[in-house]
Amino acid sequence: MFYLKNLQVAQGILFLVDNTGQCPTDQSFREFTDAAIAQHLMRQSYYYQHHGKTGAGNRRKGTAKWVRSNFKFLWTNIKPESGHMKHGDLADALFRAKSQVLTEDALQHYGYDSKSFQESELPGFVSDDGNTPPSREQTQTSAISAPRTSQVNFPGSTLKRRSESPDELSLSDHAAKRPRIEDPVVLADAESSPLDMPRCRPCVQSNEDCDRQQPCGRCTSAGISLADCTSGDSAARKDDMIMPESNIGNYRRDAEANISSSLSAQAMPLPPPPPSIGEKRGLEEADDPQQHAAKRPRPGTGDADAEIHITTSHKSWSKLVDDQTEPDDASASLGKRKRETGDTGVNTNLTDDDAMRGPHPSKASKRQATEPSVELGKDDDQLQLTMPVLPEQTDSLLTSNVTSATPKVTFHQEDLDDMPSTTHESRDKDATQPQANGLRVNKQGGFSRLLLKFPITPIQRRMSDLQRELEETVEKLFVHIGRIHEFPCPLIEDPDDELEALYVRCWGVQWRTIFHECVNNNSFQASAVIASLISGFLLDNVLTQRGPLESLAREVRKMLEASGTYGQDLLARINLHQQGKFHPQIFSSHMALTLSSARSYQGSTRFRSPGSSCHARTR
Amino acid sequence: MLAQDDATLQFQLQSQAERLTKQLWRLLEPHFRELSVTAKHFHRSAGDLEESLIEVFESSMTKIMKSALHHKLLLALVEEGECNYTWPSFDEEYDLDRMKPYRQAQGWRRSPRVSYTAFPGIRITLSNGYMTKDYDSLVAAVRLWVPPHSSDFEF
Repeated sequence: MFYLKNLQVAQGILFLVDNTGQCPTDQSFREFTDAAIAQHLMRQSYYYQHHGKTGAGNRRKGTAKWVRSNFKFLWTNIKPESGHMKHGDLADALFRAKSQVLTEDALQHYGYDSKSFQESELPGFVSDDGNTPPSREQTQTSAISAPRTSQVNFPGSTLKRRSESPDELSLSDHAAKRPRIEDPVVLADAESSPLDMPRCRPCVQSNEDCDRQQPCGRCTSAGISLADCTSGDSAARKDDMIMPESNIGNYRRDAEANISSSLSAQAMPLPPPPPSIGEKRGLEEADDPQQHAAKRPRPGTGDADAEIHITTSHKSWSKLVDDQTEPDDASASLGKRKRETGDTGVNTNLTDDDAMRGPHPSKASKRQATEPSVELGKDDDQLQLTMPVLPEQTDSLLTSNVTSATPKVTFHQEDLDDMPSTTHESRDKDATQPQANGLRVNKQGGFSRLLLKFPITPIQRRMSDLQRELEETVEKLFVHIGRIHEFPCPLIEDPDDELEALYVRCWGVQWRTIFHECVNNNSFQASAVIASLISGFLLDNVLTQRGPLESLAREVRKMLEASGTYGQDLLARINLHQQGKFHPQIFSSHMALTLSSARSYQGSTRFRSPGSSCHARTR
Repeated sequence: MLAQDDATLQFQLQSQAERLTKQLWRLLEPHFRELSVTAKHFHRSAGDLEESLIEVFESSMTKIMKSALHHKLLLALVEEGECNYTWPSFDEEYDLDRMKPYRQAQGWRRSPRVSYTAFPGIRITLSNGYMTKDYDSLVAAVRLWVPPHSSDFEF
């Protein structure tokens, strides 16, 4: 694992410090993503200097590509105590990576003794390809293509230095020799290096890589001697080192800033990283409060709410929410509305897909970000409906005469526990919330929040469970029959009235013609027909049948209402606008448990009858 | 008392489920009998198929019926909202993306049509007094077919 904080740049070398002590291979280096490198370099404004500002994506890619083509990557096992590499550590790393980047000239340039350098066997250096360090001869050739390093001091080095040498060059002299990154050609021989030749000050200032190797004509005419021109060269470099802080981002000047910082024995703090796009936006919005306020979503206009078109155009959302806090009016208006619409009052402008799928997860997350105080945020992703039958699948299905399309409904795991959270213990805590007949209404919620209280998800889940059980049962039946699923279903020519009604349910009044045609075409498979017949039977005789179940429901309701405050509390938890409703999940999954708990609560000391409960609240 | 009521409730649900299962078996028995005869041509031990088939059918369908009754009972307890079941009819153009029938006839293109419905859908209509919202055909499963004449369409 590479640590980005330990990545340092020094004169064309990217040092990747591996804290695990393992040598990175090419593969592991590739895992050190381009984006990470680019981000780090962009933070130091290297790429801005050389390539200007472009798009964010292209900038990252271009930066990484540029870095890999112009930098040499080295690995060291230096583990700085402070957790960050310092310039001295970089110097040691340079020395450890001796043959890769340092020539004898460079060693002399940095103040090292070349002999001690050659004899040193410092562990930890592995070339970037994972092999042993190359020989010196290889170094001489590789150093030509490698960017030359310079301008680093060695405060922490334990190696023998050549500081006793009278010919030691000053740091400013080293700076004068520093090549540009655009000109990676470095001569190995210090004697023949044009950078060591005297240059006049105008040449230094105008053209840094002057190759005339002699004072210019202006200096000669001015009578400037060779020594003076050299001193002028150094003076010019010193002047260059004094740079405005705003230009620190320049690669070249950044390196020089390292020198100046080392001279002052203080680490140059890195410029603050440029704010990210989001931060910039935040800053811009902070600078423009009016614009920020305009972009801020209005309360009560969440994404789920935006999907709902209010039919009462004369009421605003806030007015609507306020009205929802008036339970009596809402209930009365509901009943009135239902009567006006003939009890089927479907008056919706909703898109059915949105209604079926529920709020989008991204929208929900966005809503959570904008509405941190949403109490029912967990239930926002109430339903996620996945339709495995896609349009492209439809095309393939159309190739055959009879095709199948079975939608599947999947739910989030939290949806399975979407019971209202108003528990008996938290009722007092939530009493401060606006309530409408026991239903907490979030001021930012509106109608979508009300929908969350309705047990749609358990109903849908139960329906999907029924469908799944039916499919499994049919499959099991045909396994017992003899795995003849694809056989044509036999037709009962003279069915009784009940079976004929079932046929009519499935295929209409022309069931006989359809059945004959489809059976002759081998379009009706036995398993499919049986499943459809069972479904039709369920629909006609169970789901839509009215009769004894209603009386049974009344009995259950009466049973719960007789259980005192606990039962009433249970009923209140599932109420929408009025008493007398029941949460299906409580009933379906934990019926016995609920009833037994109600019974135990009724026998406990906390139990109050409805009359005594009012007395207790008064007291 | 509550436990007794719960037992009574479960007993009523179980008895109704068994009754409905027997009724359904009586309707489907001719089909299964024909299928068993067909299966005898492929399996020599088809003589025992029918008994095991009845056992499997009763055990499985009783469970399904009981679940459906339970579901129905719960919907009867929930007074708010309205639940209607949908059953895509045969030869009806059906939109697989929306899992709903097309609002208008799609004669200009070859649309899949309902061959049979494998399970009914449910339409829940909610209202808070100001607006309503539908949840339509959530689990409707259809098998689609293309009528022979639709291949002549140019699209």
